[in-house]
Amino acid sequence: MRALPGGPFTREKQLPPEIEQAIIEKYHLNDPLIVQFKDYFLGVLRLDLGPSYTRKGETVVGLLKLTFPVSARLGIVAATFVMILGMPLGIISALKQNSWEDYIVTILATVGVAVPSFVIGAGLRYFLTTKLGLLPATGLDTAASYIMPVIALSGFSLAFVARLTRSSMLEVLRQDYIRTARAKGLSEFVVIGKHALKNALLPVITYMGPMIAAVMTGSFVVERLFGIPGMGDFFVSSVQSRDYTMIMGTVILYAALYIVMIFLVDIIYVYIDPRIKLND
Amino acid sequence: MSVKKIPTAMWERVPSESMEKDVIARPSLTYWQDAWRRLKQNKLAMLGLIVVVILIIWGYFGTVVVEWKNKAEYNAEYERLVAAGDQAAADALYVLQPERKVNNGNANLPAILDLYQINENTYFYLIPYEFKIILVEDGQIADEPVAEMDYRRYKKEINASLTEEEFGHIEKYLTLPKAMQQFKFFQVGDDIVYVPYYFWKEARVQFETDAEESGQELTKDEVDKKLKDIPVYHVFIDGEEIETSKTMINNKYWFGTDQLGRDIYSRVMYGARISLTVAFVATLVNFIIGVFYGGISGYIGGTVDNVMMRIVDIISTVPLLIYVILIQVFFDQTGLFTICLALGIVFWVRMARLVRGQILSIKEQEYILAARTIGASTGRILSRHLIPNAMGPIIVSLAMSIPSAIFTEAFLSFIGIGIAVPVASWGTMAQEATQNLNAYPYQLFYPALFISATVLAFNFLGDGLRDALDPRLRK
Repeated sequence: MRALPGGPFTREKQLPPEIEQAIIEKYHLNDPLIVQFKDYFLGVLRLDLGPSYTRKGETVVGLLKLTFPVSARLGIVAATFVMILGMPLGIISALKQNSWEDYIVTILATVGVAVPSFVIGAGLRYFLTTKLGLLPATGLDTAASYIMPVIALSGFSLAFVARLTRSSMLEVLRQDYIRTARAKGLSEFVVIGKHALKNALLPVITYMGPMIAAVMTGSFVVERLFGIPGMGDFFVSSVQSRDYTMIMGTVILYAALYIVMIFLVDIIYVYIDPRIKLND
Repeated sequence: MSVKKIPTAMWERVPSESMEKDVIARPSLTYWQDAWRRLKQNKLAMLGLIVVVILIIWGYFGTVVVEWKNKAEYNAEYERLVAAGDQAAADALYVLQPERKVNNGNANLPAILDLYQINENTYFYLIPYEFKIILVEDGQIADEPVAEMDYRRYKKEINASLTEEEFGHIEKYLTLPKAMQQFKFFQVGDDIVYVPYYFWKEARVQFETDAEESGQELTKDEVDKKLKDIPVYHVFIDGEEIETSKTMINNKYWFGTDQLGRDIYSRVMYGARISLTVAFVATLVNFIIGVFYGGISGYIGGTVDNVMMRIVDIISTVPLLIYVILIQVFFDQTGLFTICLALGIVFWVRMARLVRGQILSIKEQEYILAARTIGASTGRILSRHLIPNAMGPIIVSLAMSIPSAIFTEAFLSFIGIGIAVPVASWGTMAQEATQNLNAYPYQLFYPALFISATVLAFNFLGDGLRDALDPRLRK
């Protein structure tokens, strides 16, 4: 990252050399890189991600505390939305293959994967706010104001999860053990819920883990469109202003979340499929 | 033990029909012929393929034809400017491609015009929010809006053209606070057209202060409602209010114009060229680096594999945004080249992992062992045996990475770090359109439609290729 030309203190107006020197001293920027890395690493262990370089008087942790909850709240709502809508849609369309329900879900899923989130977001904002005046355009103050950002944020994942659930469900339903279960005279509910679903959901859960991490750390486009003070917007602006510590902070938070999600996915695997052993 | 001789009489001729059973009736198909046959049966995939081919022809050849057609005009203009001694303006002319041709007079014209009629052959279009009127005579859209008549300057003429009764119509609107309510007057032929228009910001402040003075509270919604009640887009000709009476397809700009008066159709066409170029170049880089890197890593294995894969892991952890900005600053330019490079860097990682996985399983096959026994070199085994046999999954992955490259380009341009602004890309167009989405929604519609349709077409094609090339998924 230090390879990026320009620095957080590069302004349009050249700073006097003494002041520049003082700033560099203050942030220990003239230490050898390895010393800087050691300091930073020890800081991370103490949950201290250092000061923000471009926002005066703010620490990275303080800024993340301010923005992450906003993005995380929106992200969790979006992820829940994907789960409670995407999976059932996929299951229904797999069970009723080649029916009109199946066609509708397939068409929606195909289109949903192809339309970018800024188009969904801008389109929703135009029709629901400007034309019909139904929903507030910006902010996250009321429950109603969650509707549009959540749809824009989850549109792609929703479509993808529905497609994934459908295809893996179809594959599982062709397996011999499903035929066996039916032959045993089990009710359709038990066959689907207990035998088919568990195996069909494995790839979906694999996808959901990283997806939740990505959605929780915010999306620049959705946050910009709906005026939400979240992390995505912040990340882009700190990359543009070379705020090293801020970039590092956001990336570390994302990476930590990612690892946690993958870990959770691994644990869920064991519960769903007893054949998978963690200590192999 | 003596061999018992079978008497000749016991031998019987095989009837010729049963010989025919063993003849191979159909021509044998190679892997690729079979895949092509399967692809042709898949209607959605063929639709995708057709759309992609049309887009390629339209985007690449269309732009070339347009530039070739306009060349004479540009040359003439260039010579005129040089003769006039304005070398700087002449040099700037090379950017005078249709998609960059700014025509402020025709800004924000939609694709379908609702026209007001003046007389038999003369109509005009009122541009919303700008309160400019564009004449349409005999189906010809004028280049410039009708000049506005300042009321103070042309008071005499305007008043003279209105009867007392007609003036009463204006007065009705003059009861609104003066600062926010004005009229625009235009002379069209012998008629005076006038349109009331409003300073929305001032009106909002006015309503709020009025409410404060009278002691009542107005919520934001109530103010919005009051603003909506103010009559706008009421068009008067000589005191008579008229309604739109004719709908016309914009024959000058098929998709309308954007906020600078640039032709959206041309911009979408140039945008197609950019998006497809990004997609193909990123895919090519992806293919070349990914296949060889993954191939070498997978085939050699051991420590080499470990080191190479850790490098891949490191590359894939850095966010795309940082690559894009790093490359932009390093090469000191923004645009097509940097985007292609950034996408190439990020995308080949996935391909390298896929190819490595494929090679790992293929290299255990007997024919590789045979090739090695004969003494074939590593390079030969890789290029003649391993990679051709991994080609199916590679092509599927390539086809799938094209839509994601188009998506990413649009996204990067949308957030302003992709293609730099005067160049038309679908992402920049969408970004510019969202700024005045409420006023001119059609400006977002066309780039959005093209992004979605292109991604959809490539997705269909990719799905079809997967079904055709991946034998495990064959029914």
